[in-house]
Amino acid sequence: MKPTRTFALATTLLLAAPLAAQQDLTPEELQSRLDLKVAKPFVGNGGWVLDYDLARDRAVNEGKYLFVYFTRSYSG
Amino acid sequence: MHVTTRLKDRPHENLLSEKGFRGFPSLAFLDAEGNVLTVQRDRSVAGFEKTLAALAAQADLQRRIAKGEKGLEFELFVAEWSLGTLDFAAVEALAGSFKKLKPAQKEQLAQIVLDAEVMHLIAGAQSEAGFKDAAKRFREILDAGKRMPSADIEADFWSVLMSKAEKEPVDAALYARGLKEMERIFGKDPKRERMLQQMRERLEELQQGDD
Repeated sequence: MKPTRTFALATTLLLAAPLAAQQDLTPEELQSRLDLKVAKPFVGNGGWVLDYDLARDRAVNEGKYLFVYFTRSYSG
Repeated sequence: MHVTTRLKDRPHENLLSEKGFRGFPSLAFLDAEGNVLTVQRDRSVAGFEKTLAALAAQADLQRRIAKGEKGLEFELFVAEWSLGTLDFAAVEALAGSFKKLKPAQKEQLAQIVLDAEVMHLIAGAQSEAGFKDAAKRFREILDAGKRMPSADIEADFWSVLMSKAEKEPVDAALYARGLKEMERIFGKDPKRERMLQQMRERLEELQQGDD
């Protein structure tokens, strides 16, 4: 059991460092990362709607389902 | 697309967790009210098309049942199963309610019940007790020699049995059988060759231990 615990502890420590760094980002840095994310070609080319309320309104008006891709921008 | 940003006061920033998801990326179909209809796990084009077809079938059946059409409950059950919205408990509960099924539907129901049980056991196999339960039941299914799990879960089924075969008392014959099945399932996938080779080497070790 000991090696497994050591591995788990090491993994936790390794993960903790970048997570802590992410939490220290300023609002401006977070906004910048969001802007970079949505500027990626796959976002525009895919025709994704980024506003959840707008997407729901369209789903109601067009009688469609929502297909949602959940992603994140803060991790770079 | 929904982007979690960690920006404060951003509308729907916590949508991922509100919808019951944890990891990134997550893909799901929602209705216009925002209710989760199904999670999209298969990210192939065929997988998306299959989900869309199942959603359309489900919506059509629900409309017809609402209008009073009878005898569509089993079809709706199959559509819901294919969307992954029924767990083993729900499948078991509903399975007994279907009367007057055609032979083909009885076959389909039996397969769904087996698959639901196997998926339920696989989900619980992370714990030691859950693994023992799964291995015992899977061995029973195998020994019965009748119905086997569907193609999309058979690798997990064999994986549990092969893991069991490695433990004391070692069962090299069972491991060999599992390896043969894994070669059938993954033999044409070059990315799996290393895994298969490791299994072959492990089989040799187990067979030497049997001597």
